Amino acid sequence: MLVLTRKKGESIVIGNDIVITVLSVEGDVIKLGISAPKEVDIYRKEIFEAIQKNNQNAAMDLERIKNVILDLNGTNK
Amino acid sequence: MTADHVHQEKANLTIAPIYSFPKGLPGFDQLKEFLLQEHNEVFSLLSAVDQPEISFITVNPFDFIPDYEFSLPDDTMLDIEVNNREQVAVRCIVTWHSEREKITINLLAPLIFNVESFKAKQIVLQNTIYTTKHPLWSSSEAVEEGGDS
Repeated sequence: MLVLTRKKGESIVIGNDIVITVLSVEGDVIKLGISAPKEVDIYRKEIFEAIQKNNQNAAMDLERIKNVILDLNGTNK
Repeated sequence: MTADHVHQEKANLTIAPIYSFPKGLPGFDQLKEFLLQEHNEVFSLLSAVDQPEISFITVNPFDFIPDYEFSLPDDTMLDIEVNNREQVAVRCIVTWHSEREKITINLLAPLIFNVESFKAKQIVLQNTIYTTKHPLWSSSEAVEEGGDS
């Protein structure tokens, strides 16, 4: 991991077109501004990991899903 | 981040088209193509074309949470080439559980389908109260525990 020291108002550049700027620092809370091309998705890491994990937990074999849904029929909604 | 207001979409998904997820599905980044099949009036099945063991139960969230709403981000509209709301269908992934009351729906990360271009993306809503584990059959509007937002 590359480690850099930055002050409020300073930035780092990643590649040609991603700029991350330290907007403010208050205690242990840092506000970052991120400029990136629209095709680059930016997420809070813990939220993205929660989505990944939720998807992995939700994935099932197609045949099993069909059996499960048969069980649910009649109790829908 | 403003965009067409997505609410109560009505797009029909009567056939079983193959949708391209250019960015994959979080957790399954290597899988880019998924078949969306209507199973019955309530449930549709999203299956990886090359790996049917990776399949998901999905529902139209508006069937269960009538006041569910969010704005489609501009970058998503570009990603899946959306020009108007008639092209958009929304599904949410259901996490099945043997105890019916523990079945949940992921409202934080809805699946957005362009029914004309057959491109799709799972988006992550920003600044929202919705979670990945909203009870599917609860009509309660109370904020659920374990919030991811």
